[in-house]
Amino acid sequence: MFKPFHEVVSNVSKTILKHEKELGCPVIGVMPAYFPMELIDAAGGYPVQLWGNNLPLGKSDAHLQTYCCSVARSVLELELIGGAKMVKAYAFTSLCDTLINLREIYRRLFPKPTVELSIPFTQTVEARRTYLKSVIRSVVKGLEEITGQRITPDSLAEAAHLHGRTRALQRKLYEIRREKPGLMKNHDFYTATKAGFFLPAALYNEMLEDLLEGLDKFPAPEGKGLKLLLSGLVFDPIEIYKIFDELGVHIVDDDFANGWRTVSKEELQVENLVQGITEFLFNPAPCCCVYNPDNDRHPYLVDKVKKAGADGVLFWYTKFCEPDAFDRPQLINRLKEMDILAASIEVELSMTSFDAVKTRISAFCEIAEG
Amino acid sequence: MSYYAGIDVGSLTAEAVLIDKDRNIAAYAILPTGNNSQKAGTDAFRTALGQAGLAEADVSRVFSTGYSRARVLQAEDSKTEIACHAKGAFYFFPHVGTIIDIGGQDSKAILVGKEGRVINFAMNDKCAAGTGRFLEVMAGALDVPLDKMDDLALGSKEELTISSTCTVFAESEVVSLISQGKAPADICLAVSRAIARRTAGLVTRVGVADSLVMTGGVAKNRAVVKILSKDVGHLIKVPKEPQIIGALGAALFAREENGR
Ligand SMILES: Nc1ncnc2c1ncn2[C@@H]1O[C@H](COP(=O)(O)OP(=O)(O)OP(=O)(O)O)[C@@H](O)[C@H]1O
Ligand code: SF4
Ligand SMILES: [Mg+2]
Repeated sequence: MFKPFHEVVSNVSKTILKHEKELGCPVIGVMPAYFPMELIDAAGGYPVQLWGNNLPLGKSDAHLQTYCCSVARSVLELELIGGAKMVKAYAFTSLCDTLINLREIYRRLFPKPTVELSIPFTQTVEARRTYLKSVIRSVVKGLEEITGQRITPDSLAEAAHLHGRTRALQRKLYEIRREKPGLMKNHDFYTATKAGFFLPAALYNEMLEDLLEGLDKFPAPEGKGLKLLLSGLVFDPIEIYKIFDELGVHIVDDDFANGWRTVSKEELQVENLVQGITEFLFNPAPCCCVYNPDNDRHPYLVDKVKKAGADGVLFWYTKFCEPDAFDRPQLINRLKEMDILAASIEVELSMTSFDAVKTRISAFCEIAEG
Repeated sequence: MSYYAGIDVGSLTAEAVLIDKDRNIAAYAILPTGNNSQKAGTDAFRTALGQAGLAEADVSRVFSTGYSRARVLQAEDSKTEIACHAKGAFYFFPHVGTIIDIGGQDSKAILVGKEGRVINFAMNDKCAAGTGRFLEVMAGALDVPLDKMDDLALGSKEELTISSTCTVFAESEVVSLISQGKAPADICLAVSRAIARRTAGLVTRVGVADSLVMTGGVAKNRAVVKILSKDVGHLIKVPKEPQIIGALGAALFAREENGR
């Protein structure tokens, strides 16, 4: 059932090139996180999400310090070694300092156009609205210049519907995982999620529909494994999920920026685009990168653990993601105060040896099993 | 009579421990892991059996641990080094709260609760700083046998500092100290202090309990243990043979039979 998704994930470039040719649309690389794909689709672009890769890092060291996260470094590496030739332009958000600077680096180094959706800090409704209004105007203009097509109310509504549908289907997949732990292998689940980064939304939706239909026939498997919730920025390296599978651990839910934090977003409201994008950026899942005091991560996470019936929380620290590192100690403490087992593991996208991670995960499971 | 065995195949050494049904240690062996971890596990096991005058058939259950725990042929199941060092340390010191295991490539701090159960742990990250490998590299640069480093260090007269935590840079600091004509004893002490400093940070991360125990090969270096005790403000105890604690823990788990 998961074969088509695995094929996409193991042949990313080939997949993108194939669909670029079929669609005849310019490929737009989307940086982490929360840039609405809807806008790109509405402008006639083919959005491809770049959440990092496992390239050995070399050339990017000339531009980004080694203490920057491996997400930013590996994405830059890809461009520098000529691995992103099919990407015609880049879309950024102002998610973190690293990404804000990365866009400047791209502007200086490469001729490819970039757009940036700045996420407002201000909490005054009026100021936020005014700010976002001008940001959206420039993003729309930038995208239209890249594709040579106008974003019309119709194209926007259609794109919103398409991507809203993607996330609704993904939420269904999350629900099945929560309710039937063990039905899907962890590695399969994240492969299915990851495939969506590279596929045209319409095709991905069809694949998800087929998958959901297939899964529906199966009851929850017998036997109980340890149930964990993962939290972090990006869910890669995907190899690690094989370790969970080997250990018989079920990831029942997650709080990844490229997982549930995005998947949970409702269909983008396009009648009032400024209002719609505000809602899209700030709700419903809180994020370490998005300043929103009305949406506290502590109770949110505790609630999530309870609803998922998780035995513990494993924080997935992509070195050296600053926003994540700032939040993590308090989150772990809060969970521990609530008698919820929590620990963190450090990962790098370029890692090739998983022995140490395996020991850490196994030891965490041993603790959880008591 | 039935026996239980634990086999710990680490990055540098492989140990096997045999215990009887009353948890008495019947025999143990320590061998270098070399380049064939599977064979190292088997060899350590057979050596221990030979010492105890037992055959494989006398052993009811074998558990493995260590980096190559999955490659141990004889093992019915495995446990992480973290659980095993905790279990093994608890066997000798039932009041233990914090365990420090420094092996060839890993250093770990483990916080345990009742019955030696793990509550929390921290591991060094990837880098060899503050591990047994660090000691070995420095011993090599100084041309001093590994097991003589502590005696030398404890007789040191002058206080020197190695500031780098990175093994490669620290080695060049040592080379530079040698070329300045500094005494090997003083350099040995500085090396021990560098390891202790790294380890103290790790221990503080998990929590310093009243009773601390150090295991793994590096615990054999008395200078490191002494400085670390001072750094964390508590006397650190060391079992007679700290290198077999992981294997002992695995044997104890094998006896309890409740492994995963
Ligand atoms: N007599 C000694 N004095 C000081 N240090 C010693 C002595 N014997 C061994 N060591 C140190 O112990 C280290 C090996 O420890 P140990 O056997 O616990 O490692 P391991 O379990 O193979 O490694 P790991 O747990 O990292 O996989 C060596 O690197 C060496 O520095
Ligand atoms: S991983 Fe963290 S630091 Fe890196 S791009 Fe994402 S948010 Fe920014
Ligand atoms: Mg060891």
